Amino acid sequence: MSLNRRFKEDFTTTTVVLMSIAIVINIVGGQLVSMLKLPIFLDSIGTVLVGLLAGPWAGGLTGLLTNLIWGMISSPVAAAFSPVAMAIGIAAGLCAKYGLFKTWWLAMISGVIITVFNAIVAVPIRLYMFGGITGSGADFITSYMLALGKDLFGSVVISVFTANLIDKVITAVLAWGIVKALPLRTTTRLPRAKNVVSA
Amino acid sequence: MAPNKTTATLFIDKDSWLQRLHPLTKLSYILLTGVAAYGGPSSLLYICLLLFCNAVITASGGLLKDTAKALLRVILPLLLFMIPIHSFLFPGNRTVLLEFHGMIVYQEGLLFAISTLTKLTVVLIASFLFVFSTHPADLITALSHTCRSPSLAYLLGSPLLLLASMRERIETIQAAQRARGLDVDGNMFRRFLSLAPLLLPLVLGAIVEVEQRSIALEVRGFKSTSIKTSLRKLSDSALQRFCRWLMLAIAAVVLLLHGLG
Amino acid sequence: MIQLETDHLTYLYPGSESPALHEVSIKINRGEFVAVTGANNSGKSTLCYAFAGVIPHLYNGHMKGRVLIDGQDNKDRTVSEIARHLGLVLQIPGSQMSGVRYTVFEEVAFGLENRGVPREQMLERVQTVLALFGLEEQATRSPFHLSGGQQQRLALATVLAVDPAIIVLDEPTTFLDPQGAKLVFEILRKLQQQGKTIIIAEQRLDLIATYADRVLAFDRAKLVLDGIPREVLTSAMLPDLKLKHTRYTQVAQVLQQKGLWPDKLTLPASLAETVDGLSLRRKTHDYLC
Repeated sequence: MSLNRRFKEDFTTTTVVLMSIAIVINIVGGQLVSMLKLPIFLDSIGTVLVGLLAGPWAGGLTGLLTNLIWGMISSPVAAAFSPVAMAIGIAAGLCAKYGLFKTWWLAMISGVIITVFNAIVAVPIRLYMFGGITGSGADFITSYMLALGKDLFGSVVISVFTANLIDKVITAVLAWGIVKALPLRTTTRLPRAKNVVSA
Repeated sequence: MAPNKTTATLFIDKDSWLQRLHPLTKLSYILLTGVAAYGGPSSLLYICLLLFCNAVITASGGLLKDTAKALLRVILPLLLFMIPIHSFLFPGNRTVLLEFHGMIVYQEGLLFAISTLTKLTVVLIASFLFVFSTHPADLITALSHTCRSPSLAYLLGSPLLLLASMRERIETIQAAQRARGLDVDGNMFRRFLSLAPLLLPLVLGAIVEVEQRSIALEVRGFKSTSIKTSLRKLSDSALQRFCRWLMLAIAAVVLLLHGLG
Repeated sequence: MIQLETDHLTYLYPGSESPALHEVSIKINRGEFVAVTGANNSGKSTLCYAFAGVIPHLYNGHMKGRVLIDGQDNKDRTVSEIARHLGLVLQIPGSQMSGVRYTVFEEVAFGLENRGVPREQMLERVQTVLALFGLEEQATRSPFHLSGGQQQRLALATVLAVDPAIIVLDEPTTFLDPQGAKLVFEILRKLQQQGKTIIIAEQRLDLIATYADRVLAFDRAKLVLDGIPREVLTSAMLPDLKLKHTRYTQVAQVLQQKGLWPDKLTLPASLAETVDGLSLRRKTHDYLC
């Protein structure tokens, strides 16, 4: 019951629908990128968007649920990383709250901050559950670092950070652009949009 | 392994006792397995025992073949990376197992890789069991009953259905792309530029539709405060409810002991 | 008997400078078939939202005046309570699907489940409504695998499942082909015959001319014309409202210029009215000869 009440207060129907659409955008974005064979992920645009438009908690929940759903439609490995996606949404929401999404270059800085949050949560999961290796391109960076004599922790930190930096900066700038391009009628329905749209 | 056409998830339409099990029972089982694998003793024998238990359950539900196939797809790339990287480069490597043209395979790294992989396999099997045997509609019903939160059920359920309809839109785009011979194989910069015109209309259109979607939900009593009824019937039993609590309790105890130890 | 009423209704969307509705007063009787027309952004949708309580409950804008259903002020009821008396159908067919039900049958039941209708009653109600809309064959299909026209009929079915006395439709035919649009109007006529009150925002004037009893025309947030279709749809003001006369009115205008339309008869808006007028002229013509 208390969960229900919390939901009612924090999340209006509009926010809930926005989050559900954002989850779809995340997944479609990820699929499009792999269709175009691009070396980025782009699977968190929706999460960042919700962070901007509805705040850190809604953003975090969007990320969490996105990965749980990825887990159901492609591979449960994605579900293991749901806390990481959650951190991305929270970080984006906090950045927007403190005015770090007002211009495109501020959005780039937010992208870097999101990458840091991402790494903080991703590294322990990679280390503990996957022994530092997840069968992706980032493993090459990890093994290179290991070969240079770094410890496992340091190697994973560096590989997670470098593999995500460009992706998260692009994601942040794209999300900023999308919010800018939304019609006024839509942004007035989403109270937090003013964090981005006007000074 | 293609997702189920109607549910968009990996659900396999079969009639077994696993299919009929309450979704929350299966979710509790994933939690228990996870805690048992990562919080229990780290001996390889113990992990293999867990592995065996999961395999038996899978087989009894008639899902052994599908699970094996799915596992292979997930674990194989991990295995190919993990075994060599850790056997050669694991920082804790001391004991030489064998030497081959200057490449040294160490025992510690190899064991570390094997133990990580088996633990992961245990949890993966439990997760595949859940995903393969649970129709998302049952999950939605279970969540809206248990959490009494229409929002949470909506958030997990609606993306799946929207994806199914969105997939058709993407396939159309994809076909159009191919017909124009566009950039799927062109240089990376050009492919990157073709991303925005694909993605942006889709995203903007979807966000603009949020307003109508939420109004449509509201007028259909989505936020109604009356006690809700359900058309879909979920089979549940006292035994299952007991098992759920038991599994959660065991998981809590294991976690506690792990924390203390 | 007045069933639905707006009383000096004025509304501004949040962040907007000019009102979307300005001093609008309308009284609608039980069993009427009312069409609301006007250019884009003239206030049609806003009026529909106000009827359903979406305004002001789901928007933070500024509202003055009242909306009453059977004498009850919308402000005193929630959107979901209002929906028991007044059902709302929207413009985009796909966006009205709940997104959490896998079959058409379950989709129709969604609104009943939310209101706690007992299961037995629910089954019966859904079957009745599906039969009414010719959707029985689609009952086990996914709502997302229907055509736009079928989805719009499903949206109407979900609204009707809770049996409201008034049905408000906000440009439901925008994304439908002419055939699908006509089918929607045919169903609405059937519902009117069953005693429902129908209010539809619509730009297809030829359909309005055939089916509606009364037309309200809006121009920049104000109600400017209110009368029977033949009166409103042939008004000389129509081009000022950025609306086009129906082809029947256009034909009759040409006939009138050439002296071929009966002198004292007003211009027609629908096919039936045109045929009447021409046969009347034929009779007087025969008589004169």
